[in-house]
Amino acid sequence: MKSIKQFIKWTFIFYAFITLVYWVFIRPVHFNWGATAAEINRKVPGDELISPNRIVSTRAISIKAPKMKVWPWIAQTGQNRGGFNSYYWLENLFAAKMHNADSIVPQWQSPQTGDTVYYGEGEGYERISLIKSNEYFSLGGWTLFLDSIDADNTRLIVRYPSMEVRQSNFAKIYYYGLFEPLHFIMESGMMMGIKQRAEKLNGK
Amino acid sequence: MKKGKQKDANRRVAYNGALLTIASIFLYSLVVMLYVVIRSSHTIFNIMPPGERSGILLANGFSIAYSVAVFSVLMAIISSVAGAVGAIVLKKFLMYFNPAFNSQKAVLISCTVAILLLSVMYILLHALLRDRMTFLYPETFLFWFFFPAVVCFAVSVIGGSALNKELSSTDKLKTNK
Repeated sequence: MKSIKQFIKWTFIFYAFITLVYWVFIRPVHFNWGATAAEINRKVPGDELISPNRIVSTRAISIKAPKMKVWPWIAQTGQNRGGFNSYYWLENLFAAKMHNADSIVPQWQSPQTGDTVYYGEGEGYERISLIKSNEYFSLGGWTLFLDSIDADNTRLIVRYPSMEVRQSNFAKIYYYGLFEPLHFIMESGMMMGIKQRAEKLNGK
Repeated sequence: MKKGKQKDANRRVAYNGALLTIASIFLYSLVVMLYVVIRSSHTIFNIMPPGERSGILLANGFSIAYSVAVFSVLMAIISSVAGAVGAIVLKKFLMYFNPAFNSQKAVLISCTVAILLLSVMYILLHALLRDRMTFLYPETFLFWFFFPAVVCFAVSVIGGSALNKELSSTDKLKTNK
C-alpha cells in the first residue's frame, strides 16, 4: 500500500505541474494560436452573430495553396459530410462516428445558408449562418475565413465564440478544465488537417 | 469492542480499495495521455514545417495532459466510492465463500466481483450515454470497455489476493491465541 500511496502522490505532483504550465504558459498562447495582432483585431463575417459577453478565440494558419484549393475542404465540413479534418480517432472515442474525407466529394460542394452541420452522430448540430464560396463559412459565429496572402498562399483564420463570461461554478469547471483545452486540440487539428489536404491538392 | 475492531478493519479495507481504484485510474489515464500525445504529435510533426512545430507540439501536448488530468481526477473521486464498496463486497465474499483462504479460490472470487462491478458500470454508462455507447469503432470499444475491464480485473485480483492473505494471517493469529 505504501508504493500505491507514493504513486498517487507523485501523479498528483505531476498533474499539478501540468496544470501550472498549462495556465501560465500554454493557455495565454493557444487562445490566439498562430494569429497576428492584426488578425485578432480584424472583423470577419459572422462577428455580428457573437454576443459581446462571450470569450472569443482567433487562431490562424498559413497554407501553401490558393483559396480555391482550400475552400473545397471547408465546404464539406460536418460529420454528415466530409468530417472536420481533425483527429477523427479522438472524436470516435466519444462515439461521434466521424470519418474524414480524403478526397473532394462533388455533392458536398454547394452548402447553402441554413444547411445542417452535425458535430457528431446524434450530437448537437448547427445551421450554416453565413457562407460565401472561397471566402468564409460561419456556424453561428464560429467562422472559418480565408485571406489571400498572394496567388499561391492563404491564411485560414478561425474565430470561435466560446463560453459566456458569467457562468455557474460547475459550468466553469467543465469549460476551463475540459472544453477549452479539448476545443483547442480539435480546432488546431482541424486547421492542420485542412492545411495538409489543401497543400496535397495543390501538389506541395 | 469486537464490533469496533471489525468496523475499523472494514474501514481499512474500504480505504485500501479506494486507494487501489484511484491508483488504477491514474495509471490508465497516464497511458491514455501518452497514447493521445504521441499519436497527435506524430500527425502534427508530419504537417507543420520545422520552424512552426515546437510551439504547437508543446501546446497540444500540455493541453491533452491537462484535460486528461482534470478528467482523471474527477473520475478518481467518483470511482473511489465504487472501489471502497467493491473492496467491502470482496471481503464479505472471501469470508463467506472461501473460509479456508485458498488462494486460487480467492482469484476466482475476485474475478466474480470484477464482473459484478463491470456489469454495474456498464449499465450506468449505457443509461448515461445510450446509443453513443457504441462498440462500432475499435477506439470506442478499447477505450470505454476492454482496457477498463482489464484494469478492473487486475486490480480486483491483486486486491483480492492481498486481502485473502491478510484474512488468512488474521485467522491464524486467532487460532494461535
